[in-house]
Amino acid sequence: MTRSETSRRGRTRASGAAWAITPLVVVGTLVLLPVAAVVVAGLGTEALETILAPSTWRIVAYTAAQAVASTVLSIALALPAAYALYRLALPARRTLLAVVTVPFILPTVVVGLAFREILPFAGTTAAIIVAHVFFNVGLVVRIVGGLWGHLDERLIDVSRTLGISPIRTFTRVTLPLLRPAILGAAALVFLFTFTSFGVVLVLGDPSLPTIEVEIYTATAQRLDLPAAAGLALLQFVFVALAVAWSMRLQERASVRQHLGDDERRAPVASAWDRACAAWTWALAAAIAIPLLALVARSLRVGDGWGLAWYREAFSPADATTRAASAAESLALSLQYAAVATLLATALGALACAGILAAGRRGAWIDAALALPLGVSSVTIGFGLLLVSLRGPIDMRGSWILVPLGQALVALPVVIRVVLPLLRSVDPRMRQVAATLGASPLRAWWATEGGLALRGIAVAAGLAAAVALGEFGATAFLVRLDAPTVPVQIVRLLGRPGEANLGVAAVLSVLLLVLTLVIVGAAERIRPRRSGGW
Amino acid sequence: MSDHTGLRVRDLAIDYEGRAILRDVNIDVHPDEIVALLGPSGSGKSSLLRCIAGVQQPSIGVIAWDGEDITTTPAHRRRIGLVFQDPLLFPHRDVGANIGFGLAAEGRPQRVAELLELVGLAGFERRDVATLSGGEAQRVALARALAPRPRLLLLDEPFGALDRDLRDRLAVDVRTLLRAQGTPALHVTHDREEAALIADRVVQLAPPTAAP
Repeated sequence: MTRSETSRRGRTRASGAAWAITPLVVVGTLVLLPVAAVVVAGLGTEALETILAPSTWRIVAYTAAQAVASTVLSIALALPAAYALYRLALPARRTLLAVVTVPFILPTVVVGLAFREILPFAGTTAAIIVAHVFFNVGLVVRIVGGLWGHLDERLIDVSRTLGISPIRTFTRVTLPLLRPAILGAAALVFLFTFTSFGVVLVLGDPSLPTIEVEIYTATAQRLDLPAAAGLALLQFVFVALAVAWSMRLQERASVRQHLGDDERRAPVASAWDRACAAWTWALAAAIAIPLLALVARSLRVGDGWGLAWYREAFSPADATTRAASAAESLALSLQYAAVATLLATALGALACAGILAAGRRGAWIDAALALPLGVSSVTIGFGLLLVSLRGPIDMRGSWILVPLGQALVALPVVIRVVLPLLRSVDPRMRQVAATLGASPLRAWWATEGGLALRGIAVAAGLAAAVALGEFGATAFLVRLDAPTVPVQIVRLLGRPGEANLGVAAVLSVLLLVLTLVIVGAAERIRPRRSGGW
Repeated sequence: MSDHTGLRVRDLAIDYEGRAILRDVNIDVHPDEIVALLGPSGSGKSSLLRCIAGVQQPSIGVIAWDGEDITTTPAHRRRIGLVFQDPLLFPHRDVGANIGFGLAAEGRPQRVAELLELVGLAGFERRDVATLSGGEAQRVALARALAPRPRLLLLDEPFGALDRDLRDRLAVDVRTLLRAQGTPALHVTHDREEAALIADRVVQLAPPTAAP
């Protein structure tokens, strides 16, 4: 598909547009369908009553407050690590960077359970914030560090020789120059934490729901679809406002600056450097601890250690304790994830082709397709549920809804991986290959084709990881007798008894290992300097 | 125990990644002179200036000002200005704010206007630094370094990026400017003519090992 669209670059606009329209209509319809269903349902009178109720606005305020706190803390805790990892020649730098950034791809319910194990204050707002920081600190490190590593250090030297102390140099030079990256990272973290679901459900205070949790309880427990639709609409509006505001802020903060081509990392010299390096080690340890605690939990039986919960998890289902055995829900999760990966990769590749063919207008489509990222998995799940109940075709309880929801959640990730890769290919490269005597097919393969296929393979890996751990959309769409692993974990946590907790820990460990293996494999084949996620 | 000997560098050595890039450097700059330091590129001139400015540490040796050892004094307390080959203006601030960067709020606008006048850019206060030409940007960088009245100005091939004509004119301008401000300077260059135009005295920097 990349070949057909790029070879048309430079031809008439009309043919480019035609190439762009078909895939974009297909993908756009699927992405916008659940959102449209939510908007339509949210504009009903009952839904509007919910929107206007004071209790709703308390929920909105709480959701925003915990998101702001999570965002500010994530940024503040990430900055010293971003400095140490991107400006200093740290020993074991690559390992540290991997540990710090790994939580971002972990399943939310797994992390929720891990923190339940180690936090004495689980079930409070503080616990949610700690878990949110855990998830997002690596994202901030990568975004801010990416810019920090390329800042011209001589600007710092200039400031120092003008008589400005190191601290004031940081606030007057470094921070303003980093502002675009910090604002960009903050906008993303705010979106993720504002729409966070799995973590809040597992770790939060049950009397203090966020918008997402309230949408879920309204749907699944009170069966009050209009109220859920009103909340989902409200959430959608707030997310859109937040995105628009952050884009404006970033535009104003952007400065044209000369950036070095290579990151030059200086040896650890000052006391500040040593403090930042130590901070990075502490952060990596803080990230490893809950995951190790989770593994320990799965092995702790009574007062001793053993594999009892693993045997229990894989024993045939017992109707009184669990709906499905670990083996069953694992097999089911893998099947759903496989279909979702295929869907997400195909849709993502189509979308990328359309965006590139659309040329400059592609930027808007790009932004529109990133919508599910902001719309939240809960809205996608809820929207698809509404479509299945009220749409022209009765799809109630259809299995395809689950992988479709997961695919829509994973779609922005696919696009974010594939698109920068395709954009990075200079069309002249193919011409050079052709002048060297390569056949057109070979020339394409040597340049865009190879890169595109590798990019798609990486994207497929990440999409599979997202689909496997997906909880927000899946929770709305999965059939009660056929839970995926994350749904099963949350269900087990809602039941008393050590066995249920032990089996939940076993499932979490399995999911954790599976996710790490898949993402590790994907990162191995990722082309270097590819940009994107 | 202060005298008026100005800058004294004694037995300075700089290593980078285990390799000696400078050995046994001895340089004096008296408080009333402009010294040009000549040396081929790659002879460690920039590192020497960075050590004198305090943004890099020498491996061994002593840097003193008026008899006071400042080898370990942090850069921001040395009152030694540094101008690089690139202007390195702060991209998030306008021309006026760049020049006023190292100044206290009191009297800042007057001092900024005075310096702009001196470098021939009167009225440029609100200009975006991205709109300046190469020569203008380097003049602003010079004005910024002189604004806090440093006791010594270090110039690291400040005209290296400019064309010959502009370079000669600027060299004369800079000399006039330094004289007007009464600021001593150590000017690094690989260009003999430029050195002669700007300096009272020319010093040759020897590479650490004799060239074959």
